[in-house]
Amino acid sequence: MKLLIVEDEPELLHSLEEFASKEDFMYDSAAGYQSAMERISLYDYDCIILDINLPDGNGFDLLKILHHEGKTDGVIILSARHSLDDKLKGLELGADDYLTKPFYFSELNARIKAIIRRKQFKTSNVVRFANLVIDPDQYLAGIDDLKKPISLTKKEYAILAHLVSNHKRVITKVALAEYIWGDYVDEAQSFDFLFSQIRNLKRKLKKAGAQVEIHNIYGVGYQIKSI
Amino acid sequence: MKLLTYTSRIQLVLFLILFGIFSVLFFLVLSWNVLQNVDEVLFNRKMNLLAYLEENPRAPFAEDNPLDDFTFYPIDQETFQKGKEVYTDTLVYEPVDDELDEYRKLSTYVKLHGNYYRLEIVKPHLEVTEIISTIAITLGGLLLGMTLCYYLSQRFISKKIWNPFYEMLQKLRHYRLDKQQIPVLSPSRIDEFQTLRDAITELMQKNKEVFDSQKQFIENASHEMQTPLSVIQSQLETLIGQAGLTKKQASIIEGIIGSTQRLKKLNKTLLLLSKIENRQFLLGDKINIREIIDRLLEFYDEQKAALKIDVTIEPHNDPIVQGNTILTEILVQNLLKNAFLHNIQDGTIIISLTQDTMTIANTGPTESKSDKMPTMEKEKLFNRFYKQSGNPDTWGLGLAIVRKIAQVSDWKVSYHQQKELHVFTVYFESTS
Repeated sequence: MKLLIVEDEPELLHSLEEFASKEDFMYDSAAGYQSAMERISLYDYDCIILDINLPDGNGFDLLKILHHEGKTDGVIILSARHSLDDKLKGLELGADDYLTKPFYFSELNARIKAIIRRKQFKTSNVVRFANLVIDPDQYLAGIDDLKKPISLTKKEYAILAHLVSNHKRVITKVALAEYIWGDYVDEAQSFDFLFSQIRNLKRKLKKAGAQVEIHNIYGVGYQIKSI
Repeated sequence: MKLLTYTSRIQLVLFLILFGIFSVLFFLVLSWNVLQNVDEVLFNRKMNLLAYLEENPRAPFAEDNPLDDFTFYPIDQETFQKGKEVYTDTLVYEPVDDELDEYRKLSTYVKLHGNYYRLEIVKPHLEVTEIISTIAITLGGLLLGMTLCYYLSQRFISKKIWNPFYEMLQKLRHYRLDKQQIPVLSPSRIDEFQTLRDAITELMQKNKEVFDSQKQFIENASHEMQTPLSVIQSQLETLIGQAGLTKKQASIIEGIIGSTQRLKKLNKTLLLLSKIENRQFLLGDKINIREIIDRLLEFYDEQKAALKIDVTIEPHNDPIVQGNTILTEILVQNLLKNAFLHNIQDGTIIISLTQDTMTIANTGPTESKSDKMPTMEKEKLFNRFYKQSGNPDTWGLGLAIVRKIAQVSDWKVSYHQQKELHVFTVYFESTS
């Protein structure tokens, strides 16, 4: 798994690097258009995390060059511009995904993993964690296999899948609530709902005999760990 | 009153007064002139008559002859010496047309062949009434003609010359700062209008520039804030993943995370508002409101269950409206969010759909909103940063967004209270 991180903001670049090493991705980083160009021409990457606004060039041009050279690197655009036009333009130019700053690492992680899964041409996208088996294509989760899926609500499934794909990190309550409810629900209320959803999820996992546990970290976030 | 009408009214009144004064003057001058002429004729007649009688002593001048215009009255020497030559007006009965006509009479004293006489010569002269009527007719006609000319020329002027001015007014009246284009004003041959046009165009240009740069500033500022926010957020995420935090540290971080989240949402909302204002959304989609509501309601399952809110949709109508899908979703979402957020235990939400309206009514806490809200307050409800509740997680931007979206989509949104229900209605422009 090799990533290329293109980001001109040093602090953010540093955070992204930390994130990548924690998730055990190999990575290169580029702080500008020119150095990104050099790296792209020399190496192939599984996924490029691309900031659109670079001091010495435009991320869209990098996309064009990638496309022109027939490279198959997956690309996730990071942009401060929350604009539909930019998003459509990026996707049209061959980007796989588009994230608006500020984003949560859990969200970025989930999307990188989705791209990598897609790129690996696996016949099955099934994700395994401890004795848990999750199939993101069918929205199902089971123990050891999917013959007897655990009965989960849509939201419980989404929470579980997000926790599993980010099992190496703590997901803050805020990030998780935003992932599930977006802007639809008032934040203070969504924490209560999240709390009860996770309580139900824990109960169902325990009943099914899953060897995982959802930890509440300092009351600020959640992390799933195998027992 | 139009400027032209106003000036021409004043001018007409001045004309009338001037005509009045001139008519009187004209009459006096004319009368005086006529008299002068008649008197001159009378004097000449006297001189000719006396010269003739001097040469022809046999002429029978002393008899009162009705065929001539003079009469000699014998007088004594004393009267002759006292007498003076006078011109007087007199009325003479004219039996032919049975009226008294005006005559000018010269009374003079002469000495002829050693005898003294008083000589009177009469001549008819123009009658005052005739002069007056002549003057009245000619001057009246002149006034009428001038008025007509004035009226016609004014219509012509207002049509031709003032046209650019009225056009400018019209365009200015419809000018809105937030529109993309500034109106093009047509040039004029009149210097003043041309100057006005240039000044207005420059003013609009400058206003637009200021407005645009302000809009741009808000958008750029919001965008620029996204990156530092990303940094803060990512650092916090990393920090919380570290082992060995104390409870105190964790709760501080939680506070910062919460505030960052609020800042992030606020920024996002302001960006959305400025984007709607910049009309960056196309309005060509055909949208099924019912589908949007059904989909969005899923997100409120927990709230519905927690407060035991009864949600009904009635009647089962499928309005199809024209607008922007994303914006319409945001509008519906904000209204639904509002209805759930300000609801009470065992409350109700009633969503009614007709072909061109959507009404969302909800119960709400009675103590704060029980009294009828004054109309002013109702209007304020849609203002930015207006909030009634003390909830720190709301900014009062939701309804401002609702109104803005309604505005750009040519819809109308209103609020009223009906018994214990708070009712928001969106009037879609019918697409059928």
